[in-house]
Amino acid sequence: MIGPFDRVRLPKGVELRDDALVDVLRPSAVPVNATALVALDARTASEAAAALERRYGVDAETALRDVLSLFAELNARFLLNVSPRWRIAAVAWRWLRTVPALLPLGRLPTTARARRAVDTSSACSLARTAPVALAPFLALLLVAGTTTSALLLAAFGVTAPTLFATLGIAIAAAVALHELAHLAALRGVPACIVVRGFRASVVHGAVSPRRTRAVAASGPVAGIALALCLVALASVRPSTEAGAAALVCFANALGLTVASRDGRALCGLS
Amino acid sequence: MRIVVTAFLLGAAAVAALALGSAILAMVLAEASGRDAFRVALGELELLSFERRADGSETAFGPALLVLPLLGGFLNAAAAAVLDARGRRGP
Repeated sequence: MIGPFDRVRLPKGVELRDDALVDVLRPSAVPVNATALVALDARTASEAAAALERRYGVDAETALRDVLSLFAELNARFLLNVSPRWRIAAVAWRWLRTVPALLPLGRLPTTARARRAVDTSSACSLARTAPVALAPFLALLLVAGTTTSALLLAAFGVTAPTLFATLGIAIAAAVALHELAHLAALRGVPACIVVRGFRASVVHGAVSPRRTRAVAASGPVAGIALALCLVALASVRPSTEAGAAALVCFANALGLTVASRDGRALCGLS
Repeated sequence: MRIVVTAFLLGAAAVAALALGSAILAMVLAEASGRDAFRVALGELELLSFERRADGSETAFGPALLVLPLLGGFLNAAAAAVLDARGRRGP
């Protein structure tokens, strides 16, 4: 779902070289023709369509449709970042507006991907860049986690604001630790974080099958380790909050099963 | 075969971590809340029992702590076998 006035730009790690979009992370190049070059020179799809209309004399509607289709394709390949003007509000509004039409077809609206650069060359650079790359996503998770916990628990008559906040923090912390552990296991390998709605994943360059398994295992294992720490904390200072946070972190164990991408990588299924 | 065995072990480990973690947590919270007795079971299959006595408290882990991981392992292995067969067959 890309709007005509969404800002588009090449993410860090994607370069335009000799009429091709080169992904320095994964050695791949997507050839781009003269029309696509004109479109990529613009800041929004609307501007790109106007430029094509001026240059090639195509009608505005066709130009905009083609530009949106090109941008969607490049975004799906993590080669183009799209930022709606009203950010989360715009994405939420588009999502809600499209759901009634797509739901009867058994589909859900797609959300644009955002690629965020991470420097994995050393532990220091990773510690500096990874939190910055993850911060907007974690803030979203914190708000969504706290709100959802509050709504669900309130339905059962639980009114404990500290518990709701703890659950939100635990969800964000568990996800942060999970992704940071993946990145730490990828030290020295080019990698980035791709966020799509409420989902974040680490995309990286080619590694050996053994390291692929190590990277896949690191996320869930780190989450389980955090859960065990919280259980230890709960045994020293028993509290419902510590217990609930530990349970949330224990959900990382499901990352070892084939229901998750990590689990499938561990089994050699992907 | 290797995929299925790995999936079984990982599934069992995942469910064991979840069950053990939940059981320890339930025990800690039961102890803290001052309950006299506490039992978590799936029908006849006991996962955890907690009993407070005059001279302290007693916690016992039941057979469910073995059965649940086995069940999780089998389910994960079955799912892995299905995914593997589907992958071999192609799209």
